[in-house]
Amino acid sequence: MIELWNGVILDPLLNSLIALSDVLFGNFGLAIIFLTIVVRLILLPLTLRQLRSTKAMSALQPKLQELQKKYARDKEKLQREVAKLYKEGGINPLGCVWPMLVQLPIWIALYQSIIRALAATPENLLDLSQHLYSWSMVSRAVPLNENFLGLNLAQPDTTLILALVVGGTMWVQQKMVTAPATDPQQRSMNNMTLLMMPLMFGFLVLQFPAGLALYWVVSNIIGIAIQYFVSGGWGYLRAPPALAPAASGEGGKALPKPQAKPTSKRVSK
Amino acid sequence: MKRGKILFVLILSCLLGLSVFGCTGARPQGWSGAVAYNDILYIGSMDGNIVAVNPSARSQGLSFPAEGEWACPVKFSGSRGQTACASAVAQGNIYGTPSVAEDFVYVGVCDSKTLEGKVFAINPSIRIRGIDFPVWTEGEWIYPPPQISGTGRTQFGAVVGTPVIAGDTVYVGTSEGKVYALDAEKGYCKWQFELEGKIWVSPAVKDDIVCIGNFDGELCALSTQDGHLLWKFEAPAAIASSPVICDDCVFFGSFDRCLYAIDVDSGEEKWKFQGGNWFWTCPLVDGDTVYASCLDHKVYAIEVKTGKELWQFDAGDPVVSAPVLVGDLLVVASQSGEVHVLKAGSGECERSMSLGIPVLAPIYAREGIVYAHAKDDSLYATRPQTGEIVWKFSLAKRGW
Repeated sequence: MIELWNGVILDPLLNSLIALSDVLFGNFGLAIIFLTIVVRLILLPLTLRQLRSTKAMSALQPKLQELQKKYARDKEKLQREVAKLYKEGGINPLGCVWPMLVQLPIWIALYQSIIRALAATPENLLDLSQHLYSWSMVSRAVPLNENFLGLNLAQPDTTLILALVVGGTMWVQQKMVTAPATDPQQRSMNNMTLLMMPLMFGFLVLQFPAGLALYWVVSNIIGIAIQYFVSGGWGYLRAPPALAPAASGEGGKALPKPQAKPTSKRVSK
Repeated sequence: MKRGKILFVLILSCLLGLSVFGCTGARPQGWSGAVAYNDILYIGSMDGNIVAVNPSARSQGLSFPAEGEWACPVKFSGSRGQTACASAVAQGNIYGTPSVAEDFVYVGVCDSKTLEGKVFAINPSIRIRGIDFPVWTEGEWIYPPPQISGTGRTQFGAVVGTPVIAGDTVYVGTSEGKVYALDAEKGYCKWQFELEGKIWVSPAVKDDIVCIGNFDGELCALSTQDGHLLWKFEAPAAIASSPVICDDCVFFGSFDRCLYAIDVDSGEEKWKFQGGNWFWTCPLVDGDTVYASCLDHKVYAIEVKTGKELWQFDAGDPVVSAPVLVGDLLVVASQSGEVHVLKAGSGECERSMSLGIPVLAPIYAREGIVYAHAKDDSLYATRPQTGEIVWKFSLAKRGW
């Protein structure tokens, strides 16, 4: 299983990353940025599908909550009604999950590649030798130049700058898609989730090589950009929390009402 | 739906856990080889100790420490550049084999977290008494000394290679790309030469020339007198194999999967030999033959004059450890812990024995016994003539 993973996903990505570093003037930081952009572009159709499904699911939330209240004591009826609602809306509830699951191995391989390629210790470098192709550009590039914009990509950045940037961009990305909840319990849970992930990743930045943090930053920024263009704006980032219950209570969509774009219209069909 | 959510969260957690914690690579431990002096073996353990082992006591199964045996921790304290034996907070990793001269043991260490390094000069007669290291009045020293390194004025990079002693000087290369010539007796810096690429190899010294390679693929020959550059050979890829000088040739391997023979006087290439992966360790030269182990699982015997392959042996696993000669037998340890005993002339395998534990450290031969420091931090004494493991001793402090 591990050999299959290495041979089919990890090694090709790792060698591409190293070869790219050689092409980009021996700059591993640029190689990380470039490969992250390329991989995200390749996975764009899946990301879009996931975003649209998430958006459509969010739009159905008020109706779902109504059904939950209405059939609180009849679980079977509730399930039937929910399934009916999804069918009418043309939504597959797992539609936002499987594109994410398909992308996940690629992300894992990408940042396994970054960690392996940096090979900060003799043990890591020795291990790297067993994953490299015999391409001359790979031989030339290894060991990689660890310096990028004053950072040592093989060492954790202890200045807190990268941790803040990673945490901040992650918070923005999450905030853009998290619909304000009407239920206070749900709202506090959302707020907790919104804070937990950026905090956790901010902490991880202090433990892991800065190369990995660079990947997270680039990935988050691309995620924000995709989100911005797909939902036609900053999404729920600019939604005043006080308005959320009112709008929801009116039976409308959860806030904010995004600028409809041709791409997002197609989803609801 | 709820069950689906739980399943999804579980899968996500597993994948995230795997990706975050499962792929950070091996923890740095070091892989020091052994060296003998006055019937005592000196070796660096994986938990950051220099250990003196008496082979005779080990073969008798006596408790540690027996006569002539001791252990000295070489650790980095919390404050930058400070070292201490007792109040250590960070483990120093020892990748190089200790060097011994004039009753002193010299060893280079690195702190994998800060990437700083140190060179230690240890007096075994003081260590036996168990006094805290260093006792400056007894000739022990640390370079850079605490009063310099503590101020942050000296950036002394990690020492991965072995410090080499020639005359009254200790030569060492560091990961910030500098070559140092230190006074063996007092531990002060006689000269230093700065290169750009990291140095993870041991220098090779012969007569008035020091040869050392770096990650920029430069093999430099420096004058032992003042460290000025005599010549420089540029390989197409990084050099992580320590060079060896024999007669008029310097032999070393590079990440372009080639083993090079360079004229020691002019720095010109004589020949190169293509392998299937990196030549990671120092080649062994004996008479007309260079024995080079390679990460492509093979050991090559190459003619010194022409670079022509004489024979090759497939060890079945990457060969990280340098080979040794015991009479007319060539002993090779593969990464998986298989020790192969080959006829040096033909490469024919006489016998193989399994330690069952990976071996990355260079093996060492003395009086017909081959010593291998395996990944379980144990020193194995093996007899290649019979294929038996004579004794095993755990170097880890918990084992004493």
